[in-house]
Amino acid sequence: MVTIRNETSADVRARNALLDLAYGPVRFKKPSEKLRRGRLPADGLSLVACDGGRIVGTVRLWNVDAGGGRPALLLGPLAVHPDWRNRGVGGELMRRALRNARLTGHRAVLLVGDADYYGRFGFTADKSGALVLPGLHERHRLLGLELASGALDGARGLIAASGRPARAARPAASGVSFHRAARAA
Amino acid sequence: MTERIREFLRNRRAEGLEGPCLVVDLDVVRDNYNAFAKALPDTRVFYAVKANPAPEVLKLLAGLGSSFDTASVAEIEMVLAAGATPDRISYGNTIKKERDIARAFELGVRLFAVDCKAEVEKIARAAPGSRVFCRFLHDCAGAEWPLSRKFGCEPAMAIDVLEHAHRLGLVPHGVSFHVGSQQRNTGAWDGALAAAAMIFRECAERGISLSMVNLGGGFPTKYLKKVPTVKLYGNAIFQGLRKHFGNRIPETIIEPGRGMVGNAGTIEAEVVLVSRKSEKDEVRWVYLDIGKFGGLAETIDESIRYPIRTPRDGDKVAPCILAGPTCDSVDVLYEKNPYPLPVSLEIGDRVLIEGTGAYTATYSSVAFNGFAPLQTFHI
Repeated sequence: MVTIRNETSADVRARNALLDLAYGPVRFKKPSEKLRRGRLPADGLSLVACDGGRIVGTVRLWNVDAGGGRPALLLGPLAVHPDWRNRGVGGELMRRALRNARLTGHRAVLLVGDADYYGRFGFTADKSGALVLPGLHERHRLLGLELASGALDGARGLIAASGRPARAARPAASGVSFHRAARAA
Repeated sequence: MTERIREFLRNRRAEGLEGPCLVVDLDVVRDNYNAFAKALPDTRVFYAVKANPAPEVLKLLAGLGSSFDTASVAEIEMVLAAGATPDRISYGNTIKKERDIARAFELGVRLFAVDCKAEVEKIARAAPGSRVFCRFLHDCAGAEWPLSRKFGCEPAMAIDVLEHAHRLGLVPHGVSFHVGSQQRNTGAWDGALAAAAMIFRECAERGISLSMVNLGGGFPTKYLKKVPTVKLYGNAIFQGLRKHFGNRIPETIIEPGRGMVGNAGTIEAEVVLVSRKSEKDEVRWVYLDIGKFGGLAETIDESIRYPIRTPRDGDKVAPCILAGPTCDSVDVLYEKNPYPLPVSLEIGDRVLIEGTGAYTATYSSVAFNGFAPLQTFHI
C-alpha cells in the first residue's frame, strides 16, 4: 500500500536513483533544471511515495519569480517507479503537493508538461503564455495553476529561481524542522 | 426537523401505525457530508459507522466518496456490502481479537488503530505489512462526553508503540486522537496537534517517517447549545496544523459520526403518563414510550440533552422529570436538571425528540420489558 509523506534526508539517495531510472541523464539538461540547480526546494514541498520501506515516487516544488517579482512555485520533477505506474501514485503525489502548497500560502504553480495529463489537476496554458522559461522551446508546454484566484493575471516576463541557495553541508532535500532526524539517520 | 420527516410522520399516523420510531432524512446526511468536504477540502472523511450503520446511510456515503471508520468485522462487512472498497476502510477500534484482525486482512483492510505494543504484535502476525496509527490520550476538557482513558496511550508511549510496529515490519502511518464527543471548543484541537507534532519529531529522530494525523471525531451536531459551524472547525484545525507542523503538513483524516448523522434524525414518541408524587410536588413526572433502553442511552448522566418538541409548544412551561416506560428505576432521562415542558401536555400527546440520528437505533435493547427495538426509517 502506497503512502505519501514528506521527504527526509534519508530518502535522497533513493529519490535520485528513482529520477535516474525515470529520466536518465537527460534530466540534468532540462530547462527547468537550471532553475533548480544550487537551490533548496520550497520548504515542506518535497514529497515521496513509499511502498513499505521503498521510495516509489517523488515530486518537489521550487520557489520562483514568475516575472516582475510575482512569487510562484515550479513543480517538478514528478516521477513514479515503472513497476508502480498506472496505480494512481502520480495523481496522489500531485494532489498532496498542490494541497500542501495551498495550505502553506502559495498562490500559483507552474510546470513544464503535457496539458493532456496535467489538465486534470487544473493546469492550463491560459495565463502562462507571456511567461518565458529560459531554454524552453516548446512554449505551449509551460502550464500554470492558480491556487489563489487571479494569482497569474497579467503574468509576463522571465521566470527566475528565487529559492534559498543550497549549501554543500546541508542535505538538499531536508526540511527545517527535521534536521535532528538527518543526523540520526 | 425537515419537512420530509414531518410528512413521513403524518402519513404514518394516518395509516394508524404506532410505537416510537426514528426517522432519518438522508438529504441532511448528504448536506453534512458536503459541508465537511467543503470546510476541510484536503482531509479525507472516514465516517464513524458506529454512529448509525443503517445500509441506507452507508450506501449514500459510499456513493459520495466517503471512507469509513469501523469498530468490528461486522461493520467492515456492512461497509463492503454498501459498495465501498477495502482501501477506504480503517479498522479504528484499538481493541480487536487477533482472529478479527485476520478476517479484516482477508477482506482487504490494511489500516489499523493501535494504542499498545500487544495490539501491534497481533496486527504484525495477522495483518503483516499493514499500516498502523497509534491513538494517544489527550485531555479533552470542553467536551460534553469525555472519553476517559479507555483508548489511547500517553504521547511518550505512542513513540515506542510506533517504533515497535516499524521493527515488526508494519508501516507506522501516523497518530490519532479524540478531542471528546460534542466538542464545542475549537481550541481543543490545538493541544492535541502540538502533541501529534511532537510524536512526529521524536519518531523522525528514530528514523521513522510518519505521514498521517487522524483528527478523530467530536464534531458536534445541533442539540440545544449553539455549536460552532463546521467552517470554524476547519479554520481552527488548519491553524493548529500550520502552527505545530510548520510547512511539513501531514495527511489528515477526520472521523465524524454524530456530526454526520445526528441532526438528520428525529424520534417520535408518545406521552404514556403525566403524574406527581405528592399533592405539593411542583415538578411533574412525564413518562414517554421511549427511554434509556429504547434508544436514548446517551442521556446517561444527562450528558446529552435533546431538543423536544410537543404539539403544545407556546403554552406556559414548567419543569418535568422525564422518564422511560420500563420497570427499571434507572430508566430516567432528565431528573437532576429537569426539562421544561408545557403545563398543558397530556397523556397520548406525540412528542418529537430531535438530533437523534446518531447513537440511538443500535443502542436500543432487543426486548427489555418486552418492548421491541426502536423502529427506524431512512428516507
